[in-house]
Amino acid sequence: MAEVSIKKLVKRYGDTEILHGIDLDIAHGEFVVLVGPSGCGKSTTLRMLAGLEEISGGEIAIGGRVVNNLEPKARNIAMVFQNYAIYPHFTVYKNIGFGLRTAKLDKREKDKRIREAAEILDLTPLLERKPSQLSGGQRQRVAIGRAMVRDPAVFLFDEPLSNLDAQLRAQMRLEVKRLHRRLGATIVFVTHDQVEAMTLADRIAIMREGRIEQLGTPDELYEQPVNTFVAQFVGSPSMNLLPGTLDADGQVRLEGLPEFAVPWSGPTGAAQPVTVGLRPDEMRVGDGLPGSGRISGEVEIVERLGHDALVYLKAGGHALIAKAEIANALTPGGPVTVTAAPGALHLFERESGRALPRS
Amino acid sequence: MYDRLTIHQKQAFWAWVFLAVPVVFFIVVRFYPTFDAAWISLTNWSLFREPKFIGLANYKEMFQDPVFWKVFANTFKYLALGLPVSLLISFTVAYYLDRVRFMHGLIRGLYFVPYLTTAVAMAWVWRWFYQPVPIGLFNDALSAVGLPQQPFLRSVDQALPSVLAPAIWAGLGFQVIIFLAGLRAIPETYYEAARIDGVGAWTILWEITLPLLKPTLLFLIVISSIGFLRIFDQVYNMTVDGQGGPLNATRPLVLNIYNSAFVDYDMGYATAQTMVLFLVLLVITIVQLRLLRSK
Repeated sequence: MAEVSIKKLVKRYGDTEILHGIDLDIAHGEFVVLVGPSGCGKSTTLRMLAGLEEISGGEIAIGGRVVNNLEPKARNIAMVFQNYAIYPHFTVYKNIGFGLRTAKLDKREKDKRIREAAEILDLTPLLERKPSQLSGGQRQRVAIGRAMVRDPAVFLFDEPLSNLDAQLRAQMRLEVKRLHRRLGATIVFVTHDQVEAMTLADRIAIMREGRIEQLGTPDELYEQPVNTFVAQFVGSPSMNLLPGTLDADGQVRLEGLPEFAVPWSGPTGAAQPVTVGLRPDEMRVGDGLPGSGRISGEVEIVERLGHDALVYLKAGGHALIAKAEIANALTPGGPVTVTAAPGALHLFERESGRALPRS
Repeated sequence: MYDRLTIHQKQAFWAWVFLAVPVVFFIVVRFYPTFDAAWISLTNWSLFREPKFIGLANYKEMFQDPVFWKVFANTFKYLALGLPVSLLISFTVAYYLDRVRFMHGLIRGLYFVPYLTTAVAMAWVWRWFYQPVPIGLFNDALSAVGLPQQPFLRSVDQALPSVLAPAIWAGLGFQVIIFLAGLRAIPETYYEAARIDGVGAWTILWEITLPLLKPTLLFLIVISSIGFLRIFDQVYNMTVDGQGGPLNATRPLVLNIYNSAFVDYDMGYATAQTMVLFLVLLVITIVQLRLLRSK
């Protein structure tokens, strides 16, 4: 049975509908990330789950119980906020304990839980400190601690790592992941950062303009994006999208790049205009294997990343990004040839952006 | 010459250039009169004669004067009554007004209008409110519901609170605005987190809102205390002949100072009382700042 079940969830502000009927089932112990650009409705969805926003339509059930009209405290959830929301005038101990204020536990039990949570989160030496004496990462751990002591059915995270610097964010990401494994808790996590989504999630829901574009494991989203939006959103740097055609003979061709011709592995019909997707990671500088599609152009910029490099190139009037070995001697303005293996191709209908099935 | 100064020295130079004007102003208009007053309080200056040094005679006279102790006590009654009542009312108004979206600006404006009105006009309107039937608004209302009339300004017991009421009312708008600003500065997520943790409205108020409002509260307590300790306009305009009657029941220290100076022309005695008021304000402000300063 699903721990969280969202059915046809709708949110309206006045006449403006900003969530258009979301369906999402989350299994017990699952880590689901809602990701998308700002304004896609991910935070609103989470806040409706928490009970901080009214539900305009549809149904939310937590642990098999419909919670549409229940106060947040009755929903058996805990939430971690982007700005931590820990109280500056309380010590760490009191902040963590605040989550237990209304719990029907005796004092000793509460104290035990607070100390347990602090132990797990490495906060034990800091229990008597005030938040102003803590670093950003420590504050976020206090916020997580406050959520943990309540032992909720579902943890909700609202962009919890966004206020941290890059290094700390990577570290906290690991801690959240570790915590999930340790507690086996059900987690719904909102972020706009696709790297965070890919690294943390069991399943990702990619949202845009109040709809879930695709729901799946990180690998599924990376390997089989259902449309150009998902294809570009997942993966860094973004997938190259180039206009081309899928000919009746099953060959994929690119506009303005006559030497590129690669057989398509999926079903073909009459010739049709398509958008061709090529991930920078799957393109190689050099001649490549026989049968690979060749693109020749001019190097614009080379970004060295240490053990490899990103090549920004211009070819046939298109701008592309490709990965290159650092050893390749590439100079801006010089010629470059990149190749893509047939299996690396993604095809999308030109008009709708929907993916064409691969076999 | 200037070019050889370090950046720090240049900054200091310009800081002092710009500070010079307010520094001169404060010395001439604030500090000099304060120190001069301390000197005058040791003389018998009557405006018509040259001041003559008489030592602590003014202070001796003052501490032996029952009227001085009466007005001294009155002044603290204004403070002890006015401060908690005004803060309680203004906080309650601000707390609920903060949740009102409908005509929020207009309502806030209405609360603020009395603050902009001259105290004299307001005092006379309130004086009229307190008249007996059939003129006074309050007594009309009381008799309309069958309650006995009240003497208000003519009673030694009721006069002081009656004079205080318009003072509280006039300052309410200012306090409400400051409280609203303080309430707005508390991040919404604190309340959302508390809702998720399921704590009640009372706990939120006592454990989250009020502690986070401490700087605002401190500011208002200091400003309002000074205001109540210096109450004058309302008393002067609401009591017969501006004497703070009946039987000095409403007379505050500032009115007593005014009478000594501009009715009795005893400048030395007036400044001696002023020095006492000054010291009281100073001590109260320092104590409040100490007590409420966050550790």
